[in-house]
Amino acid sequence: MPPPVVPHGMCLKVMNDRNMKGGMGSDTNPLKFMDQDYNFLQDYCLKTRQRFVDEFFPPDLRSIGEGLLKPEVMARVEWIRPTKLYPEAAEFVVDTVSRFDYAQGFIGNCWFLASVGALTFQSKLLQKVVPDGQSLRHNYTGLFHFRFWRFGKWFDVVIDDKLPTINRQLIFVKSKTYNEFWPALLEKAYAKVCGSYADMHTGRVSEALLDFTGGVHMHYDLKTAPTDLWEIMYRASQSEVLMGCESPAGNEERLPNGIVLGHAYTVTKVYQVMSGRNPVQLVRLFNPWGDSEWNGDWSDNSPLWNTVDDEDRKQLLVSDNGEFWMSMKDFLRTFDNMDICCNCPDFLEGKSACKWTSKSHNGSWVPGSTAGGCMNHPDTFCTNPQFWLRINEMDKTCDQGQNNVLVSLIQKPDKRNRRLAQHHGIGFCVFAVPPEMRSEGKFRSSFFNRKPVVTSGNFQDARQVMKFFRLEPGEYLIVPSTYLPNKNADFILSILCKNDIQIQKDTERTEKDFLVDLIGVSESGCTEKEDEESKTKFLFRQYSDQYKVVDAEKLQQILHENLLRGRKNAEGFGLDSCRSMIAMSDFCVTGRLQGSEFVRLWDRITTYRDIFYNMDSSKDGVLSLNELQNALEKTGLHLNEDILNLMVVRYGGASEQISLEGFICLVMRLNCMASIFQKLCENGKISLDESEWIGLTMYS
Amino acid sequence: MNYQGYGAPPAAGGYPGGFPGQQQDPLYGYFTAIAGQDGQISAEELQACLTQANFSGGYRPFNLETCRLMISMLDRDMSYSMGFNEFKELWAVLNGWKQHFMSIDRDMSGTVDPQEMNQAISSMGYRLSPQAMNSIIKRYSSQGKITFDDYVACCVKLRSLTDVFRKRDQAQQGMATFQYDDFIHCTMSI
Repeated sequence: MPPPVVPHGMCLKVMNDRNMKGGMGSDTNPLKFMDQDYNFLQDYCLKTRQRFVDEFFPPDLRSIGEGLLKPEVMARVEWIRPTKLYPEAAEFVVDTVSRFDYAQGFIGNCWFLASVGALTFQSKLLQKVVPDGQSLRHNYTGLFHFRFWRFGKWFDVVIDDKLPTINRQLIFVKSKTYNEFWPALLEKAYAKVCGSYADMHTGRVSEALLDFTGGVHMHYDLKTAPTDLWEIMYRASQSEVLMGCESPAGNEERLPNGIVLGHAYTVTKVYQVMSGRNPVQLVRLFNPWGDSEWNGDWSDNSPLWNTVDDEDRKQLLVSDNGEFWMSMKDFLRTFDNMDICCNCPDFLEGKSACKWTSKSHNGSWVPGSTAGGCMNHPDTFCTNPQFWLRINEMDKTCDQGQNNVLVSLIQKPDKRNRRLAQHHGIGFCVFAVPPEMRSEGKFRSSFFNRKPVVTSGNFQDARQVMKFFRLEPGEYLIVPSTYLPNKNADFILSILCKNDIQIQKDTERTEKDFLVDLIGVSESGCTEKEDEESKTKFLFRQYSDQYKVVDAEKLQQILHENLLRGRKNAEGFGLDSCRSMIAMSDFCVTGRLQGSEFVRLWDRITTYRDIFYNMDSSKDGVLSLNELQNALEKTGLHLNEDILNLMVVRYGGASEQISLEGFICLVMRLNCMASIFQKLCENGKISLDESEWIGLTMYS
Repeated sequence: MNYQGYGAPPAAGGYPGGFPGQQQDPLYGYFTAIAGQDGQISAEELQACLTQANFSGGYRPFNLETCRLMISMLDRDMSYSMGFNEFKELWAVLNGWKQHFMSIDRDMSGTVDPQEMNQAISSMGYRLSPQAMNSIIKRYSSQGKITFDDYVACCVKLRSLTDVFRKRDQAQQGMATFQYDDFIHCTMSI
């Protein structure tokens, strides 16, 4: 059976570059929130010597919002710039940004401030959210901007610096350093995207963590947490990560142990100490109130700190600033849930050698069209958007039998004001698609008589649901839905996978999807394959140099001595052909093959060799036009007649017959080009700029 | 985008051997010695022709794959063989590349280094990203060196691919779009 397609190194680079350049909505090229251009406004205010006033988030009652303050209190609100509150003393940042810079104000937005606390630990993430170069002194115009990831896109949000005060005291988030204003301004910007300050009241910490990162989000219910959650948190803390947690539901009453109910906390550190001879896993938490700490084991005054050595005791906290340690055991017992948002998915499991593939799709549930509701509505469930997913074989060194797929479903709000957004119950189902049921377009209701292989669990009226699970290589269908039919909403479906994947929305599938087939390996085939792999690894060790790589000259030697040995009239593989095979097989564009790359390449070469000999019906050592056509179909490739004729001329030369060497080069290149087209195509076409075109085609 | 080409397309071909003037072209002898009666040469014949003409001089003769690329570059009737006028155009282009290569390979070692290759490609008017340039050099170097044969193979492909790109970027916006069959046809023919 032909092996799965190997991704092309240059193609991967093109894909990554496109994601990084991103066009509009990337973190380096954010969209303008409400179409306000910070640079334009800054230049305009400097030239006209005006102080910026934001007409889209005006300094009046509308921006505070209803229901937050009593009318008599609201009447006393004054909007004052920091430069007026503290003339000559106001600063954007005093010293550096820190989680101890602020304390929560009148809004119940601890979920937001806990996320800000997490952000202060991560300078790279912080710089994305709080762009550099802003000041209350130099080039001051009263204009500031911040950036947030909102429902799949980064936005640059512009604000003026008029802040709501009563008796010249900030009524919302306060700086502990009286003249520092970045927390209050950041809060104002987020209030703007939420619609008003009142719209920031009550939320989940995960919401802001995701809006600050756009990264991989994992939610953990601490009552059913994985046994290695501490290790997960520890690994995450080695990357650019934001972690927050929530205490059990309540109205912010304080428990005897110091924990506040219905409150959000930041996870600020994960550390292990030796208590006497016993290792103890600790977590450090921060209460965005800036006070009210846990008073149990390992807290600021806990005698347990006397049982550790001097090095570990340096971790001890003595200030009543809202930050405290507790053991992992107490953490699991005391808190309800936690969230991790990380730019790098490696925290999900211990081994970091593997690369994750990330895909996102936008979709809509439209009443009467694609709002089919959950599986409780069998007549309409099939009308939901359907996403076809192919999961390819994973490199064996990466596969430890753990979960390999993280699916996330986010519903977008239909209102600007966060409080008015109506969250439907949402979830998704994953179905296995048997090979004989492969089809174009949408599956009908009869397909859904089967049981899903995975579901997201109970439907939740939340902004986001996600699930981390295992899927074997094969084809699947993901169906996101609302709980009830005929609910209107847009959504983002994201899939993160350790395997290489292809995913397409039901309206985008075309015949080309099946051009490069994955054919499953039978159980007995697996055993044979493992034996073959051992031989191939031996071959690699035999021919690789001291750097454990194989270059084109070595590959040529391997091919001549192990593939063509004993064959008469063999033209041999040219050096250029060997370079081409390497270019099509090496992921990192180094021009050389590592062990796993070589194993894959050799597997493909031997497979194509076997196909060649099977198709050479006249046994003359070459393929005719008809034989070539049959052989290509065996590899899963279909070509129209013109291209087929061209291949015979191009690879057959004067004799118009294809040698083994020509066949192997032809099929590898054809697979490579078809794969590139498939990965980069949109609406059945591929668009490339000149460097992309030259890079992809020259390096192959 | 600013494209630089290599002169105008050749004039419409006449009939081989049909004009007395053509028979006096010094290249014609090399061509007819190989092409024989049909007036067309295949990749194998082109390789023999260039070797016999000692085109590479002190450099290693062209390998068969490079000769196939040469035919592909200039073959406009998709016959995958070459007539005399195409041969003349090829000879002129090859001479230009050879002079260029020799000007870089000052010590006549037969190879150039990646930096020199980078400069050579840039000086021919190609504006490629550093990433694309780097991948090309990795693709065409052995032990960090580029031979004349590889240099020519690289130039042939660059010229063919640039021609393909330009034809699909009619508005000169810097983007070419391909349907599937067209993409496979273009990428598999060189």
